[in-house]
Amino acid sequence: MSNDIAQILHEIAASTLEEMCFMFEEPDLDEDQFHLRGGKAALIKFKGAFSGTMILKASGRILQAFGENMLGEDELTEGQMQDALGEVSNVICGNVLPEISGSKKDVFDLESPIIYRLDELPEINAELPIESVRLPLEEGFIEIQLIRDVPVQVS
Amino acid sequence: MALNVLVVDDSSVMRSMIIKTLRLCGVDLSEVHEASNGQEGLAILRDHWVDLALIDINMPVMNGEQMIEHIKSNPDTEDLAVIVVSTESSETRIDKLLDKGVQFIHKPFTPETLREIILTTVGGLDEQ
Amino acid sequence: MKVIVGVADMKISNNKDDVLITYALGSCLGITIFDPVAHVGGLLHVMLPVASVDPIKAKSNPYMFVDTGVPRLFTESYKLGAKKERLVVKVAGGASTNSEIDEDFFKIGKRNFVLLRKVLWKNGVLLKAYDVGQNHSRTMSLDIGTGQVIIKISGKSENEL
Repeated sequence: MSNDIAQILHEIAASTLEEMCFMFEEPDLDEDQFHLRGGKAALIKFKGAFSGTMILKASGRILQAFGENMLGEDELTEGQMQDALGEVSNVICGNVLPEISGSKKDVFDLESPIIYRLDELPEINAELPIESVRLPLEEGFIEIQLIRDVPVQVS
Repeated sequence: MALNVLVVDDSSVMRSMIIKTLRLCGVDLSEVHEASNGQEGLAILRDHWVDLALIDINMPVMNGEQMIEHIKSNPDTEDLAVIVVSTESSETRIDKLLDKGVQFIHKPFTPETLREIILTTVGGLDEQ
Repeated sequence: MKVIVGVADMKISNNKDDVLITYALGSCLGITIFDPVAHVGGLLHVMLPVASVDPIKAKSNPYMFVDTGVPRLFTESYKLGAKKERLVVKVAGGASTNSEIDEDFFKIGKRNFVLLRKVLWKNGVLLKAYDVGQNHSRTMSLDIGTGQVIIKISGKSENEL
């Protein structure tokens, strides 16, 4: 199950970025080159067949590329770059959830993305199941985390 | 005749992408209104004549589903052409929307796919 | 007259008797533009997405790359009287170079097409029609007299795009 979720996150993120932002996965980029310098994160809470949170972290260079490519413009405001990060995250999250639930009938409600500085992201409860993937792109890395809220079993 | 269009999405970047596609479609545009949630969208519909609305689903304050409920239950707006532009993948929810006579396009989309749906919805102005 | 467009090559014409044609589009892209009012058309056959992989080659032959070839295709057509807002843009090719599509590691064909979409979106141009992907070779022609674009797929009949 865990590997499946990571695989789904990876595939849907890659295809969304290709279609929406004209950006490609770069398999030659090594893990030791991973950094998120100058970056931001978008956090989306969702409810439905299962509930939880998706976080997408991206470097400053990636943020710029999201905005430039989606709008087809070079001069962007900080607000537009953050908005682009939020929208990319929203599209990935909206497409990932039904794939994970495995049923096209399941309904999910997504809250609007909240943008954070990377050092201001809320702490994740370490007891919740979390899936993490890093996607290397020509412009750098993105990291996606999917945290499922699992009810605590009281015996 | 030139169209008045309303684009409702909480992402300003997505609204810009939709409006850019509208301008490249070959349709004759008159007024283009923007709203960032359903409530703002309904307020625009009260004050302006709109021929086509492109509406997202997941939005704060009032979501797209609720906005479409209002549009379809109001005699002044029930005939408005609506295209839902959303990441929504649930067949349950999509079928419910299609039953109300709206068109649907799934995000992510290419501008060419959006153009096809726009032209189909407004009757097509494809001259070539 | 039949005007052959080679690999990494481009031809522009305003002669209504011309048919521009390019062969063996595999992962390469064939891109046609046509202005139905000025009767100006062009066909570009590009091989690779970005010129930055080989700037020296790009300088000697900009038609090798999507990001250097496509702007030339448009600007050269303007010199013969074409107007951007009237241009009809069609594309074919971008096939997988490997018969096992999943094993096409570098995805050159797909990258060519995605980069073309990026260049066009940035410049405010939508594609009129496209026939891309899969793993077969295509021949593409543009009739300057009619604007008709024909795609011929190896072993199959021809279709208008």
